[in-house]
This record gives sequence, C-alpha cells and structure tokens, in this order.
Amino acid sequence: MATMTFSKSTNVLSWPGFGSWSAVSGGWGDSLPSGIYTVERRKVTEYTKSIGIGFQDKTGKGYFVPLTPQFSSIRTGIGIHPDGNLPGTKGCIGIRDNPETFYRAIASTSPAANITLQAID
Amino acid sequence: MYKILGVLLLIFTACQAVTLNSQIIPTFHKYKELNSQFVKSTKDNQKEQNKEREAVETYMYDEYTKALNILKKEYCLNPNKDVLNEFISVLIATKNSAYEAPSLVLGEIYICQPNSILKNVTSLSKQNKNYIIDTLDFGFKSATYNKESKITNYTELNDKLKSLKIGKK
Repeated sequence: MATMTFSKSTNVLSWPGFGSWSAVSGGWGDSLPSGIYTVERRKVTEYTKSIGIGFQDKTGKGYFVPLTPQFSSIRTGIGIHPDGNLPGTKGCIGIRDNPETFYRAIASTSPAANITLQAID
Repeated sequence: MYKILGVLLLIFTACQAVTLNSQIIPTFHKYKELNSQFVKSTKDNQKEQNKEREAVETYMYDEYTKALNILKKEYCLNPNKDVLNEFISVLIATKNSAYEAPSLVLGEIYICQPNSILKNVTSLSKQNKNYIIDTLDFGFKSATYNKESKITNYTELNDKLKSLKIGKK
C-alpha cells in the first residue's frame, strides 16, 4: 500500500498521519498518469525563494518533491510543488492550500525513508 | 568616428550572438538526445528506463535550466533566429515533459520579442503549431499572471495570442 494518495477526481492529496491537501494535476497538459510513484526523498529541494515562480506559494517560497513512476511511462519532470502563480500544472501535483505544511511533513521524515504515492483516477 | 563606433557595435552584437549560440544550442541538442534515448528505452526493463530517466531529468534541471536562463536574458537583447528555432524544436521534441520552466521562458521572450515568436510559430506544421500555441498560451499567462497592468502592451500581446488560438481551430 502506498504511503500517500492523490485522487485526480477529488483533487485531494492524502497522507495518513500527516494530513490532506487540496491539489491539482494538469490544466495545462495531461495530469500525471495513474499508478504508483517513488517519492524521491533525497532529492527534495529546500523550501526556498530561489525556485521557479510556478513552484512558489503566497510567501514567495517554494519547493519541489520529485516523483519517479514505478511503471513504464515516458513522462518526465513530474513532482509535487505548491500550485504557485497561474493555477494548474503541466502534469505535476500542485498543492493549493497550505503547501508549507506538506513540506514540513516531508522534511520531518528520514532522508532514507521509503515513501510512495499512488495516483488514482 | 561614428563609422568606427558603428563597426565596433556590429562586431559586439555579432560576438554576443556567437556566444549565445555556442552556449545554449549544444545544450538544447544534448537535452533532445537524452530525451530521445529515454523515450526509446526498453519499457519492459524498469531499471533501464529509470536510469535513462535520471539522466534526462538531471540534465533538464541543471544544464537545460541554465540555458533557459541565458536565453531569457539574451534573446530580448538579441533575437537570434537560429536560437529560437532550436528552442522551439526542443519544446516539440520534449512534449513528454511536465517541466513548466520552458513554457514560462517562451512566454517571457514573447513579451519582449513578440513578432519574431509569432513569425516562427506561424511557420510550423499544423500539429507542432497547435502544441506551441498551447505552450505559449500557458507561458504568457504564467509570465503575466497578476502583473497584467504592469506590462504596457499586455492587451496587444494578448490579442495577438488570441488570434493565433482562433486560427488553430
């Protein structure tokens, strides 16, 4: 069973024990393909102002959490980030509400943690 | 005196163009090559595909992003046709990417050099043109989001983009 779930129909990212967040995937391209992804814990960026404007929340800071599909897919550049600037993404999961709390949650885990995400229709 | 200054300015501009080309066109080629290798990688072998994925994503976030930063700074000063052709070609070749930065840069250079972008877009084949129009739409809206009033020719640029979108149907 995956650690967290993103529902494309309800636009909710759920992480039992940590919380749930309103989020979106797509709008400016196909949403992320359904399936299980590895959350690349060691590659999570800092929560910083030195990140693209589309990844920044209302405070001007942002982050990127890379995802790697555990199934065959040619999509690249998929991850989780605040849904900053223009609403919608090109396929990433953009967190709409309280994106900082998601960052705090992921930052509280061990860098070696085995975290997965399941994207469902 | 003015002739000498004119010649020096021409030489300076030419040097800038050469520098821009030599800095970023090889990066665009390399990114396309890595992406092509990844797309062709054996779908039945997850380990191999992930290795190719890591190579293309690492290059995309590092070298390609640096090239995009140079492009957005330099293209407004020196709208080089070859560089634009290569950039549009990369965007088309890497449609499989969810990375938003390239669209944003396309939107940003459209703001400063709209005519050269429009000329390039209208010269593309129908399928590629439709894709680039959508990419430009996203990029322009991202680049101007909540800043519309600060961009003096926003309405004109937006209208031109709307005309392009109507034309693609």
